[in-house]
Amino acid sequence: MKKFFSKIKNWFVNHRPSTRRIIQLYAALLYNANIKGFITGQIYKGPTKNLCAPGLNCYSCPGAVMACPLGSLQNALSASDTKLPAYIFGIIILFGLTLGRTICGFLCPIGFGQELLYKIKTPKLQKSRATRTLSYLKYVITCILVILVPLIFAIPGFCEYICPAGTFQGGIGLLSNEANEGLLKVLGPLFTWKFTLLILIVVASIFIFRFFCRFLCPLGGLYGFFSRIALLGVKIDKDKCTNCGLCVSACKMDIKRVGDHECIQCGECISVCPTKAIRWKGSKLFVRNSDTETPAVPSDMKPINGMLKPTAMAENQTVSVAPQPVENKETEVRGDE
Amino acid sequence: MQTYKGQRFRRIYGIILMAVTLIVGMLMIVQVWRLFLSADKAAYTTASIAAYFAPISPFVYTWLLMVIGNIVFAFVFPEPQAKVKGGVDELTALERLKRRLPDNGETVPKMRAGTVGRRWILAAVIALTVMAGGVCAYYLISTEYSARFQSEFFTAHGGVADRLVKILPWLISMFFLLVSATLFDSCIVGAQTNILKDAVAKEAKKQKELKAEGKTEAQIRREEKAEIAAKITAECEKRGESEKAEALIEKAIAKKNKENAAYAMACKATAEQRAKEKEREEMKAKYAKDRKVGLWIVRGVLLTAGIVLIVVGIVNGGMADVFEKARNICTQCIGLG
Repeated sequence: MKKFFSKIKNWFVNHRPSTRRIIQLYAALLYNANIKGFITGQIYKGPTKNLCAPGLNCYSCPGAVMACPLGSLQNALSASDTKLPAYIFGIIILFGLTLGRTICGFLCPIGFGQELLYKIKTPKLQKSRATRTLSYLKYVITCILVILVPLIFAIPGFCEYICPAGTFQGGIGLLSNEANEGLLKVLGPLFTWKFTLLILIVVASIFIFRFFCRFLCPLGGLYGFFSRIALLGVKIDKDKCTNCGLCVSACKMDIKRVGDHECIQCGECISVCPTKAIRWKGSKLFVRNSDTETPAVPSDMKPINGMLKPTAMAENQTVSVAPQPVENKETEVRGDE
Repeated sequence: MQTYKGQRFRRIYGIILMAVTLIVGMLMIVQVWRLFLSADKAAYTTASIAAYFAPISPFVYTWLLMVIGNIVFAFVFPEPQAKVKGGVDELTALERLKRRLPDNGETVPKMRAGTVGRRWILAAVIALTVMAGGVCAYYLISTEYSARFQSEFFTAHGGVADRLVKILPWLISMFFLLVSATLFDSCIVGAQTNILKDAVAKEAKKQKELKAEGKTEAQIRREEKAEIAAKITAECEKRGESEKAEALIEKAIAKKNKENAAYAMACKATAEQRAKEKEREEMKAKYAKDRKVGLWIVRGVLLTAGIVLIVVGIVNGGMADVFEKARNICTQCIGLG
């Protein structure tokens, strides 16, 4: 019995949520803190709706307490013939400059939902050149549906034809309440199309990591432009980096290098790097012992031939073992490149 | 690959769960379209939704139970953390290999033979994809279902949705075309890489063995020529064509010299490339400080621009517009149009 409880305890310790997961949860709850709205079926109309949430969160969700940046941008562009969309441009510039795609990794409820769906254990589709090519689709969507369609036709193209947040949070969130039964009768082909798209995105997210974020999300695409200049995010120390490629291999996004426009700045690569070359921007100022010269060798590892390998005892335990740098086969065959 | 207790069971379970997920997703899409097409107007009512979705609820509950089962099995059969393997992306690896081993008479024909077969498959996939797009377009435009898309909503917005719907099948075809092309290109690159890797490994092993015996480059070349001469002489004697041996030996040695010269050129090109890359890195390091200052200037400019735009937006009523849009239900977002 003691062994069973010890096993349960170990399971909880090994599967406790990471800091990032907790921040994602809090952000999702904060954006949709209007619990009363879920009960009454009415959306929130308070003063916080003057502000935009950094991540994608439909403002027609009964629980939403802030506005959606993407929806606001499209509406502002629709009305750009009468008024310069300065406010929303300023908001997006500030979010991009301060947080960049850290918003995607930490503060987006849609990304959070997709990561939870991806945890369902099924065969997964790994990233490849095909997925890297497809990742440019979101820029096409941004140009056409987020910028051109609102400018030319004065309708929010992305919100109207694609956005799954609107369908799930706004559509299903509102329509599932009895108070909004009258709205059901007005549903037509558009809702049917959007519901289909929502199901496809949900199913795809189970097999493909962050399917919507990687291929369809224009907000991630816009924030990606700020990746190199954002104040918060991950960066590589080039003096320590040995170009082993472990960070790129470990990352499930379609990055070519850590910190590029596809990187969601989640920081999962920091623990994978064998030379501790990846760190948070500004960590020298804010994080204790962030700049160690040589990483200390853990007690369950020993250096063999320049690599850290687990001892025999460590291999029998269920705790996670730090990944070992694998030599590039080309280097082995022909000497250094 | 590391094995663990219950691995086979979890794999099979994952495949079954994948199948159930796809079936549930497909059923939901089919049912929502059947619901929409069941009536000319007001297809969505509480009763009709229940009527169409109740029959598939057992599948949905089964899926949910299987997902919970997954969590239980993760506890009973814990999976060890996968090792991360590093390396460059496949295109870079292929280019590096090509630079190191040019045409030696064997490798390229092998690569070409492998490629041709795959390109026929690619052509067939492209043709099928375009045909599928055409069929979808015909179905949407020319059959009785096209009437569903002629509602007031579509015509009220200047026919945007109408146009989008008509080009949608072609967009979907292009999408699958893009995916197929990139996937097959990846296959071709992968096959070429494997062939080249074998050739490089063979050549490197041979060079290593020869250098281990303490031989100079000139000795190695002499031995190569002697080997070629002996081989051709033996073959000619076997066929009874000894008089042709000298000419054949001369020809074979000329070919080998050409290969060795090409190989030396390739190594030189690699060395020059490496020297250029080193020079580029040194330039980057030299101007690193200037780049850092430039980065902070850009950040300062963007921060100022962001704040100014927000203030302008507040003054010209942009923030009020965002508030006005956010405090009302966005009918476009939730699928009402």
